[in-house]
Amino acid sequence: MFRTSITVRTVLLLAMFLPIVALAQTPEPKDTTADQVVQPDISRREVRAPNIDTENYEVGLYVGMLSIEDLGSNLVYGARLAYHVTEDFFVEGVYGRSTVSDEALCNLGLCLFPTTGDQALSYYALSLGYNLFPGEVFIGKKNAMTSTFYLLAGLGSTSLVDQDYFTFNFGLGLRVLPVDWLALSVTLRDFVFQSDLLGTTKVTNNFELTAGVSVYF
Amino acid sequence: MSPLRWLTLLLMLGSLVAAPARADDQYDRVQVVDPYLELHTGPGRGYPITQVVERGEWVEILKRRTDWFKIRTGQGKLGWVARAQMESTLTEAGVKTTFRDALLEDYLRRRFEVGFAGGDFDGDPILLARAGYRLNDFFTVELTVGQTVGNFSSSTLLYASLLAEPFAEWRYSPFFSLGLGKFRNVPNATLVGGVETQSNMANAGLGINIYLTKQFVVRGDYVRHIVFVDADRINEYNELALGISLFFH
Repeated sequence: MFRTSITVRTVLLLAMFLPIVALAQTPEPKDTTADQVVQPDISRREVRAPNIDTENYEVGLYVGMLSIEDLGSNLVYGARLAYHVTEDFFVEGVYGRSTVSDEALCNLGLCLFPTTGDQALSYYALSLGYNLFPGEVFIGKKNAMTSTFYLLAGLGSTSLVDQDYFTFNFGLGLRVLPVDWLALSVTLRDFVFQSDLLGTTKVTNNFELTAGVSVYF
Repeated sequence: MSPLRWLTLLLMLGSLVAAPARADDQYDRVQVVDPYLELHTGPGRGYPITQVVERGEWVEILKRRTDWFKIRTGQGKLGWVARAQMESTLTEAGVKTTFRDALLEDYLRRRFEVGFAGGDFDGDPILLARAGYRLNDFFTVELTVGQTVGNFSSSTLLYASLLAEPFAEWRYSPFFSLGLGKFRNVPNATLVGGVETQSNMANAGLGINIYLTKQFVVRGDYVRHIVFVDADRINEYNELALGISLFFH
């Protein structure tokens, strides 16, 4: 056994702990030049607000049948402009034209209109729509198209024989989108206005069933 | 012409015709940060989710409808993603995208307003449509067209007005309006001896704008219309209307 002095043993004992102490220290950053501030190496980020095409407007045409209470049914056609506010609600404005004839009543001796023949009828209506049942329709085995069943309610005016009638309208319809910018729709609407054509003032319900095509832009 | 000139002309025409539709590299790209993004078949929560996009993938934003974005993945898959999920994606610059909802700030910065209203015009129902442009925080110019249908006649109003809104930043913001325009009265065809009249009109009113949510503002108006029928006669009408306006930038 070698006889080592106490000092040598102490030094050797301390030396054993040195690596642990060295590990416990965090490594110091190496400065290339001691008197220079650290150079940031970050390139300027280009922050650009996204420019995304929004497609909330819808414009379209429709054609169908309009039935005026007591006066028969006639072809109706019109144009429609809609704005989709949220996925559930949209507002739409429609302008439609049709004709009305009192021929049936005239044959019975009750002529209502100042002139014989078809009278022009036009209406406009502003409605709020609600997409009640969004979903898909399936045609055959392989085709699926997005669709929605919607409700409508609105106000407008109907012009018949140079007279305007303040009109409420309620409706429902189904819209199918074969591609996402094209909509095919079928709408059933009830135009309600007070009419005095037959002598007495009464609230009339005038139903309209139309098919329409519209484009989103 | 010389051959060189023909060639130049042809090249010029060719460059006009070949104007590119939006090229693929012009769509904004964002990177998915959430575990996955859900792709719906249509722009609504009622449409089914058929695909997902995993974290780390880049997607191109093709277009937007209401709060939904149509995106295309790297593999060419198409689908619609809700705004809430798009908010957590990152742009190429590494920052979160700003697909904000229409907030109160947008309301304060509004420029164009389009609105419809219904109400009462001296006992008869009236329908109004308006379009307005904000000049600054205080003044707005507006064009209004209205139609009222009465028992004996129907009238059409068309007027331009100036609105002064002193506290435009309030949620419930009152305003004062002054307008000038035309008033056309058409008597019913069933009346005998009815004469269609067109007169000048001035009006003054008070109203309140109430900011609802998103792009909607509810607006209530009281307007006093003064119609100069002829040199001797002046008719005055009261109009009370309530309506909704949409605002745009």
